[in-house]
Amino acid sequence: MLNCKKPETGTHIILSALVGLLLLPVSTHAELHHLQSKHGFIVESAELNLDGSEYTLNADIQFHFSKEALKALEHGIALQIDIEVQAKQNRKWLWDKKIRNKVFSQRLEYQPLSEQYLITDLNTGNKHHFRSFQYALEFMGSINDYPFLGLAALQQDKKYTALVRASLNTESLPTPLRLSAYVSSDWQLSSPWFKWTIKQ
Amino acid sequence: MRKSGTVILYTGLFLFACMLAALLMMSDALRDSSQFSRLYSGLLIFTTLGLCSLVTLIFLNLRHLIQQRRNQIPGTRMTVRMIAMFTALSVTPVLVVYLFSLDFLHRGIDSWFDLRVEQALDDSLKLSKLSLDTRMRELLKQTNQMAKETSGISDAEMPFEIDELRTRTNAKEVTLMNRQGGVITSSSENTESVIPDRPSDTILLQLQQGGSYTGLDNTIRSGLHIRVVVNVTDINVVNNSRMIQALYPVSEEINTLTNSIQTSYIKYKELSYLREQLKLSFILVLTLVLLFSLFATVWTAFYFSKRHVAPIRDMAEGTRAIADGDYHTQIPIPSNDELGFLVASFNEMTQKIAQARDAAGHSQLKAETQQAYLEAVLGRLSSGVLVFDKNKILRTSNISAGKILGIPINSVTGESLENICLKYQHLEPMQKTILSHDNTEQDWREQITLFGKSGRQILMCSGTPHSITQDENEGYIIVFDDITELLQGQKNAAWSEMARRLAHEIKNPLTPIQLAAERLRHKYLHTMDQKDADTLDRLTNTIVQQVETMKDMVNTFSDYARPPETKTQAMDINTLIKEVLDLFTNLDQKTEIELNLETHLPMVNADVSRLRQVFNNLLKNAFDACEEITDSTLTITSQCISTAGTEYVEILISDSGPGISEDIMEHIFEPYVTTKTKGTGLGLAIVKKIIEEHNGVVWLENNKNKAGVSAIIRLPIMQKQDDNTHSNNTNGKTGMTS
Repeated sequence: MLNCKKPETGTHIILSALVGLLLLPVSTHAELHHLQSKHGFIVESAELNLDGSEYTLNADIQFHFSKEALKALEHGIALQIDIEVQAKQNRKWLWDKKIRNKVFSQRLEYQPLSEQYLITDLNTGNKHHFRSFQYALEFMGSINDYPFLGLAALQQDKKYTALVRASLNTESLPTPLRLSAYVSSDWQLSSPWFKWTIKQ
Repeated sequence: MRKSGTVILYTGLFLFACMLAALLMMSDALRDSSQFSRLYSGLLIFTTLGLCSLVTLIFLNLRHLIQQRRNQIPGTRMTVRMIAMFTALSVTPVLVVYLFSLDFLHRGIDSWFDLRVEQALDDSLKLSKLSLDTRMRELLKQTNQMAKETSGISDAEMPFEIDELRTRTNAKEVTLMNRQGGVITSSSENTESVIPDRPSDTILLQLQQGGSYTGLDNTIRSGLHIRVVVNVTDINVVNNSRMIQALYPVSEEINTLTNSIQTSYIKYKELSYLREQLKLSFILVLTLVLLFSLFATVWTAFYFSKRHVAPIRDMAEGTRAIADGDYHTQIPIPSNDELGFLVASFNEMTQKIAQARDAAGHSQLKAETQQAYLEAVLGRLSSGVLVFDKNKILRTSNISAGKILGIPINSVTGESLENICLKYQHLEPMQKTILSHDNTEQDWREQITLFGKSGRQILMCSGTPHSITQDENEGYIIVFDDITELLQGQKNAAWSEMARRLAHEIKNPLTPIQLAAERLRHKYLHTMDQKDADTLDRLTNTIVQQVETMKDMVNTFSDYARPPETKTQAMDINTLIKEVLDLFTNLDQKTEIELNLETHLPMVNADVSRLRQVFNNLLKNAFDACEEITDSTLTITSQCISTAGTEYVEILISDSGPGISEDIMEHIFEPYVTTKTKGTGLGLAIVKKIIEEHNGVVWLENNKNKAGVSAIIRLPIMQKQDDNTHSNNTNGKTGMTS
């Protein structure tokens, strides 16, 4: 089960540009704040392993949430993390051709009664409880054997690059929170693209 | 214009509806359960772009308005006033509502949160936790007891014991695992499930570190339940490496209540966290609504101002067009209201003005046509016509009037009779005559004699008072003819008749007298003595001589009275002058003759014998004038002159005699006017008559720088062969205008 994320991303870019223009001073201030703080996501490692006739994704991602995001989590607001994986065919004279794009989404929420963190895999619906927030993050950052790409999709004589990144889906936030999420760096939580060449 | 206006209106209404719907959806999207929540970003973009479009439209309209104001287009001030009024009327209440709404918004959202409610929710959550903790402690104790009981049981025996353990403890599922989490044996209430629920790696790690786990979990299969995992301390079993997990159900009632408390608690905490964001979002929507209302109002103000001012502007332009003379301007009727009625009235007015103007134009054209016709008729009249108004100001005249009076008639039109006569004093007799008939209402006719540049002129003048209405005299119409030549012709005709009759009457008895005298002499001369014979001879000779003289005189009379019988031919004037001059040079050799004859003189069409008579008479007069003068000179000049494109042959015979007094000069060409003692007085009269018969002119004038008189003759030259016909027709005219 795949999440099609394209329209949301496009709208988000346009909206961020519009609101960002209006709130340029605020945004600049927020950027400085971002530089000062150390929140953000980092893809430590990622690889595609051939498992039979399919490539599976294994990745290690570190999540460093901002204070604002953690505060929101403690107040019962669920955070949706999207792990976007792409496979591109390398081309010499043209831009690379995207042959596969898949998004693995997980929702992180806090349950005050049991004082546990609940991670729900939105692709499978599986739920996992964690008493420790750190354990929850470790679980969420360990991507193991996620089926991604069929072997048949790749041609032997071509070169391919895989990319992965993790980001907080601001569109899944409650509507009143989205406005500040569009412009505040506290909510612009995203890792840079992690790239590597797919070994055939 | 009207169609495009309607399109703009409907487009504006459509956009207005879209914007309104978008704002409503945005407002609704702020609710969690809203179906528009997912569209929030798109709606925000749409409303922002809509507002930007409205701002652009307003800016364009404003710029257009400023340009119109600079160009002073009619109706701009009214548009500005209407827009200002619309804006002021709408902004004030909208701003007031906005400010109050902001206040209500803050108060409303703040009122959702109460410390007591928050405390109650915290307490209820704590209570739930305490209740569950108590239960969990009991279950931990129970599970520890179960672990003790299983410590002496081997892995092989456990499948037979575990069902009993689960049943006894009322657990939903009991699983015996090794320390790595591997399932040794399991017993579940749910017989359909084969695979037991495994604890997470975190729990396993916790157990491996020697602890135990008790927690409220929510599994897929069992829903909310209490999970207890403890290590099994087993003396008999090698490695002491087993753990037991028991899943205890939570009662449905507790499950529901705790879920409800947790959901309410989370919702409240979420709301309290989002309080400021919620306010910000509502304020944003409210501000967007405010801006949309304001911009829409301003744009609507622009639209309706334009629509209302357009007919007024059209009317202003129509009025200007009428002022510029365009009476066919029709303005489109905007609506059926009072403004429409006004425009319709304006259109009707312009239509009537156009009709009146057209009628006036037709009348003017008719009047101008009549005026042109009248001028054409007057222009073709040989008689002079002058029309004076009642103030004696010259209003109308014709070309002939100017020619006859010798004044530039166009330049004096519009001047009074008095001023005209001050400028041209020779017209005073005419002024006196007109003024003498000023008070008469009857037609009058009178002969007037003028002395102008062209000499004495006799005019037959008639006057008629004219009036537009029957009662009022508007002025006079003066019609006059130059009858100088007519009178001169009559005079000449009378002289000719008298000469013819006199010659006839005198000539008849002369011959018998001469014959009788000759017979008397012949019969009695030889019969008389010498003395008497001499006397008779002398007397008869005198009679015969005098009779001859009388015959000559009578013949001259006859010549003058004889009708012209001209036989014209092409001739060279120079040759004729030389021939005639030869006769006189033999008789008078003391006079110095100077001949300036132009070579290649053009030929003239003339009767040679009659022209010889002309030169004979003129040269005879010249030699007679030089007879008593010592060192007399006679100059004869012939030349071709060209005036105003017309060519003439001019012959000038200038003597150095005593000249002619000015009194006689005026009548010198009349019969029996002479300065000589022996002259008949008919020579110059005959000269003038012959020259005029050849369409020429002749005049005498005293020399300016020396003594003597010059006789000047001008004769038209013979036209070329190819335009002979034309020359025959125009000969007379050419001769007269010179």
